[in-house]
Amino acid sequence: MLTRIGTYLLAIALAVPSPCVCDELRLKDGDRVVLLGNGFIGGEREFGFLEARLTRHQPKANVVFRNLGWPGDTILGLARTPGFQNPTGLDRLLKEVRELQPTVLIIGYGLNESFDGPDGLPRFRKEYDALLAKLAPLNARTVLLSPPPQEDLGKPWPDPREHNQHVEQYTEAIADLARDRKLLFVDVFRPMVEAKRTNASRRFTTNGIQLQRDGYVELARIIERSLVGKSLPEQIAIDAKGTVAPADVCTLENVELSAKGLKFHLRENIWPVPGDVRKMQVTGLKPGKYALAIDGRDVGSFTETALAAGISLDAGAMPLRAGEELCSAIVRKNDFFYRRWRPYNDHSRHWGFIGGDFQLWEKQVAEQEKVIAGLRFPRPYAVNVLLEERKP
Amino acid sequence: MIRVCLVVLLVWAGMLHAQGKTPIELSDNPETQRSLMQVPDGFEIQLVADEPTVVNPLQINFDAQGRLWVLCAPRYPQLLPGQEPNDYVVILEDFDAKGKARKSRVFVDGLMVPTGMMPGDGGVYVGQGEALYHFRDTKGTGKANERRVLLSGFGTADTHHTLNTFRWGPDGALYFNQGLYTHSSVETPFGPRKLFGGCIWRLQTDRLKLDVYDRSILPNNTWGHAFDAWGQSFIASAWPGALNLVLPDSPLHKNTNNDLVPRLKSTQIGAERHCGLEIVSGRHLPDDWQGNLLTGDFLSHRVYRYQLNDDGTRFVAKPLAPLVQSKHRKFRPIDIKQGPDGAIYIADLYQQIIQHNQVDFRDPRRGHERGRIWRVVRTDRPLTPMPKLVGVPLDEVVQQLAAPEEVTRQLAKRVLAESDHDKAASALERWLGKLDPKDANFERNRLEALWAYQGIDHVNTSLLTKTLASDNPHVRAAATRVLAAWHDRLPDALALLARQASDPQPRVRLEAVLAAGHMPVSGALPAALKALDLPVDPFLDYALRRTAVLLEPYWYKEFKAGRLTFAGNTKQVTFALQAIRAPDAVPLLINLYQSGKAGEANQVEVLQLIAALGNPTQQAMVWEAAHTGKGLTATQQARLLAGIETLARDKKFAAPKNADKLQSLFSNPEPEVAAAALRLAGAWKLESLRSTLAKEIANENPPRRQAAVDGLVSLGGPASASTLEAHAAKPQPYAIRLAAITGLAALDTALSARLASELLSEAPPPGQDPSRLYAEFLGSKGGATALVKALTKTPPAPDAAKIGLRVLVSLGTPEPDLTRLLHNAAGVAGKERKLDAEAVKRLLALLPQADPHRGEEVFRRPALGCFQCHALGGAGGRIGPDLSGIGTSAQPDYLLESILLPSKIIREGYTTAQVFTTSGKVFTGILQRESPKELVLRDPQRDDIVIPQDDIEEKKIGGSLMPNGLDHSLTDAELVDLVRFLSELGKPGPFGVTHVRVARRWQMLLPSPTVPSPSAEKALEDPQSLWSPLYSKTSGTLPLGEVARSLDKQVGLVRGQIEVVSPGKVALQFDNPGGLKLWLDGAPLESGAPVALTRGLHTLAVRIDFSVRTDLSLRCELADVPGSPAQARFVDGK
Repeated sequence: MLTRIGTYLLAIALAVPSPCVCDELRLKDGDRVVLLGNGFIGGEREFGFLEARLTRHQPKANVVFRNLGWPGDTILGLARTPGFQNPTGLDRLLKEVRELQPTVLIIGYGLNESFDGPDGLPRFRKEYDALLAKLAPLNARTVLLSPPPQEDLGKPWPDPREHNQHVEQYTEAIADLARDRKLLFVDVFRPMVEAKRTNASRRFTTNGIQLQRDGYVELARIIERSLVGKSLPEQIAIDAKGTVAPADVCTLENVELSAKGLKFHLRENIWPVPGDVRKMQVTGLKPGKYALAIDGRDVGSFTETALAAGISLDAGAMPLRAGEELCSAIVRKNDFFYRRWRPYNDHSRHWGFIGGDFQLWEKQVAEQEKVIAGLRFPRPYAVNVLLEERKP
Repeated sequence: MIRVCLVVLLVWAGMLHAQGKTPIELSDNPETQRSLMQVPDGFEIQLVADEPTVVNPLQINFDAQGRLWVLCAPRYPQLLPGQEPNDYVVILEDFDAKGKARKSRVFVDGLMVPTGMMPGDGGVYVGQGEALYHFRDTKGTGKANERRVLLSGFGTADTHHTLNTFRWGPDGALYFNQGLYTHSSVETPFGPRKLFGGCIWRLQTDRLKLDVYDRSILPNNTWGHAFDAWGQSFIASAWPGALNLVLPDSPLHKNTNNDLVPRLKSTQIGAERHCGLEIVSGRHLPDDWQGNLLTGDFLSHRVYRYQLNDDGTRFVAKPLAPLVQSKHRKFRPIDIKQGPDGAIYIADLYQQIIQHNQVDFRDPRRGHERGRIWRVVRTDRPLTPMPKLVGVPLDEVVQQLAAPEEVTRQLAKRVLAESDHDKAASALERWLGKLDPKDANFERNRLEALWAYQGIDHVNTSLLTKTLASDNPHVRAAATRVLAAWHDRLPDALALLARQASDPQPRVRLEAVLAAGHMPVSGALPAALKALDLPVDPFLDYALRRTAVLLEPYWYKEFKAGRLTFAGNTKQVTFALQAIRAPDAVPLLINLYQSGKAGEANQVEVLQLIAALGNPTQQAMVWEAAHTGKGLTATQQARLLAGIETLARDKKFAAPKNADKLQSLFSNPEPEVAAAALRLAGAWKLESLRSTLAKEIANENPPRRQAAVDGLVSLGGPASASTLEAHAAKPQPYAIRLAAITGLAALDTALSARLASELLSEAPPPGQDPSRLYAEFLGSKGGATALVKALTKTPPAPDAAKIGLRVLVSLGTPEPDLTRLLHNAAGVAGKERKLDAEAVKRLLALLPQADPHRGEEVFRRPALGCFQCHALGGAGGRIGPDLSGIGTSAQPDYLLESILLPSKIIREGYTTAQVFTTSGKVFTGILQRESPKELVLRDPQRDDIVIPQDDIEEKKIGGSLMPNGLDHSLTDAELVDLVRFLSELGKPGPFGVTHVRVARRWQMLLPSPTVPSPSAEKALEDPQSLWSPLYSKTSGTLPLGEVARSLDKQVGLVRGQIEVVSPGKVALQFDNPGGLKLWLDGAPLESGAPVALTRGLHTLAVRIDFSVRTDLSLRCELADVPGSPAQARFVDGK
């Protein structure tokens, strides 16, 4: 076990200091973001964290995300099956990407290929470059992601050390491609290795390579950090006089100060999303036991010292709850799109019967986009910090 | 009730509207349904659960607590826009005396068209769409709160092909299937696993290692998989209705090699559509039921039972009286599982419509609200108490490994696998120590323990060694598979393997050869090839070749370097080199040939391999052997010449300097040698031999004559054309003209078409058949157009036109112009029908008056050619679907549409392709398979048409081989009769599927000039006799009208074939033997008398004296003779 950790440390030590070799990716009104890749991309549709994180910095912008990730896929689109009026493999991939008219492309390939080891590298580089050449006429701002590392789950799971050396080589190759073609690049590999090293109790995958919730939380964080650079404050500090810090991301409204404590509405510029932590600190209160309620929901009762130290909010409390709701709405939209894009029974002979269903699914997607837009923009929420009635 | 009426109305298109009530066989009342289901005497069928608890059950499986898990998919087969996923897994338990589950609880819901399910590891595995999931209850609420994607990347193109038929293997792995159209590329921690097609996957759940277990035998719709007590696995397929033994297939990476796809048949039962498979055992069932197979046939509404017989090499399944027969038409048994209590549980999809792609997903006849679980129990014996496997010490669990019930042994292994492995291992050790060697089940118990150790991934070398050497061959075979799994953790795996490979029992040898494929070391192949020292059956031959190819990276390099010698065993070396076909092996092969060590039987194969892989100098040696024929039999020499000809055509074998030595072979007394030489001369374009070759066109021997024409065509050029033209006109005999004109088509299409039109304007003389001429034009680019042009000027004689129509039907080439022209010439022209909603309504309204018996007569009309492509009860063509059960799945509107517009909906597996080659040829057929190297088609005439990809200029996929316009000659009434007949096929009644073995495929003797009197029994032996196919009616009766009409005398002759798989006595029972004289293989036979038959094919001949016999039909059944071990069947097919 020590040697495995040693390898990781070595990998970190050798890594490029900054995981980002890119410029900022700022989404704007009218952007159409297409996620393309294998299961690593495809699995994200069940969480929606990436869309939530990348859109929260411009919540008013009208941006749509479409996930074309296909588990088991390779850079040649080999897993993409022939279906109704759909060509096979790479032709299907290109057709479907083009039809979506992306302005931003986020591409994650290489994990499946990395199992071919160093022998497969030259071919991978060549084929990836050919794909990028075919996608270049779309003039989409393009982000290449490295594959994630294979997680070490101990016996009887495979020992991933050798494979991870290969993933790292593929990561380098993708970074080179991005540099040559002047595209954005996000190294997912090293930050994920680092995150696991920092906290070994985290479990990113179900089987070493299939990311689960925490894995996708980390992935979205890495991509956001790399492409947007901004991070959210983990703590919002309010004093009993009604001032708030950091003042550049949140403001207080309708502040009511009283002898019992204070009431106010908090408006934030950027919504937290799953994976974010949030502490609320209230300082300057006179001694006593206070009831903290957010958005009409009791959070608990705390002493003034506890409040001054900061209360960690759970996922059921605002504003974290809003992030969960936003992601659920995104997942629902993703489901509708998946059913339209890759419906079951799309073998050609069945399609005479469900061809007309495309429009119905598209309508569902469009309606759900409206729901998402409504949830994306932060809305103020009420916070009450009031002395508890002393019971006789 | 309103809904019920609505459904019914739609079903019968108004037919029943007039009567205004639901027919009893469609009633949704479970008790009514139960009353329509028949089980054997002493048994009872009970309702376990119905809607709303259970809806559209797709799979059932028991857990260690004796609870029955049911996968329910109300949304099956497709979630529509606006619908929310609401499919679920429900657990049924606490069954009362009448079978009813008193408790039920939904464990997972919100699923979207899941197709496979197995409880285990604290929850349930579910196959749904692109992923395999595991749902778990971590909070003890009884409902899953955790959902994990275990593996993703499975294909979703067809929900009846997505992951299904989950089954724990005795080895502790989870097995599941995918179907034909599933395009899977699965991401696993061991790297991607790709498989585009049908297969059985094997998953080690503790590390998610996924491999292909089988992809070799039945590629699609394999909806049943069961292991017998010895770990052999059997599959039941809905296509083409077969039960088979699984030959575990190779690891994935080499699996693209088409040469290795075997065409093996272990057992072939009939035309049933199997879904679900169980092998029964235990105390509740009678002794003679032990080891029986049960399968659901969703078309005929039955659960079948088979007795499985094992002769050491292969298995034969003998049909027994069905377990369940239902007159209720929504009974669709699709999964069968025996409970630990001994009862047989049946998942009844309960559907009117089971078709997937032919019926709209929104069709109101589809059911989304109902489903049934049944069980069949013995009334005269109590159920076996449910074993205690959970909440008891492991020492009690291991004792259940000796349970008579297979499912209990399986569940006990499951409990051990899910327990602490160290504790499980010590419990096993204690149990093993207590086993009594005198116990009749001692060996089986040890095997169960070995599997249990495999399930906990604990290598027990001592137990493995003992079981490998068990007295029981079944145990040795099963242990050999464990050897493959543990080989890298054993001290001397290769020595153990070598011993198993020379085991006296063939199946042990087979397992050893397959095991070798999993051992990536150079010594594994020589160990496996020890199997060559004993008889090699086709299974073993396939397995040996596969293993040699799989292991090539490990042994071949070592062999060339001289480090691996096969201990000087040339038989092994020859076999291995032949298998891998490595070009640099040629010197080694030459060495083998010249030293005479290749063996007489092998020498042609060795020579052909040298010819195929060698350089010209090395090929010269092959040529020498071919033209001198030294040391070769005539057949071997002809084969070698033909092999060279194939290479010559591909320009891979240039003509040697002394190629004119072929000339002396033209007059070789053996026609096969002479013919091969004539063809080779043409392929090599030997101008110097042209004149000698041309003389052979007039040869009296048809094969020689044909070979000369072929040779001339290959030689090509104007000289060949003018020679053929000179033979194309009178006074040359018809046969020579026919051959010459057919050959000429490839050289000068227009000229040949003109000459053909002259030939076809004459009625073909007796015994002459211009089919080949038509086929030649249809098979060349522009050929049909040229022929139409010529025939428009000189129309064909009616009989010649009829033959042309037959060829069109049999080749399935869509040529509307030619069809019309021939229809007119043959005088059978009709009118085209428009198929709009109005017409469908009008025609379907005629159905109630239609007569299925008249419809059968229409079906049997030779001019329609139905039997050319379709079989009934297995007898008939195999190019289109066997129609035996079509009425139970297809609705009348669909049948009507399929007759009128054959290309609109193509049954799966019948994808057609039209391939144009660079040499101007056209092939039309069913796409069998395609690889980067070649494409394989099947047409009504030939099973495997192999076309190299390099030769393909263009290919068109799609359409039907069934010609348009077949209905033109039919009146509306006849058409509707035909639809009615088809819609009755398979339903209980006179057109139902039956298990009676009755002769359906016959041939009748045609009068011919060379055989003056068909009454002459000699005709049976005369190779010149002409026979024409004849098929029995659905009832099994063979009408003799056609036989009587074809004769000028009062005597006719028909024959059929019987295949015997296990020798013994059988009886051939004729309904009415009056006026019949019978022979079996030339010896007189008496109807109903026992006759001993050896393994192989036997010919039954029947002479009918119409001056005595008044009955213008006959019927012959194959009957068992009590006590006889014989297994026999009538040969069917075309």
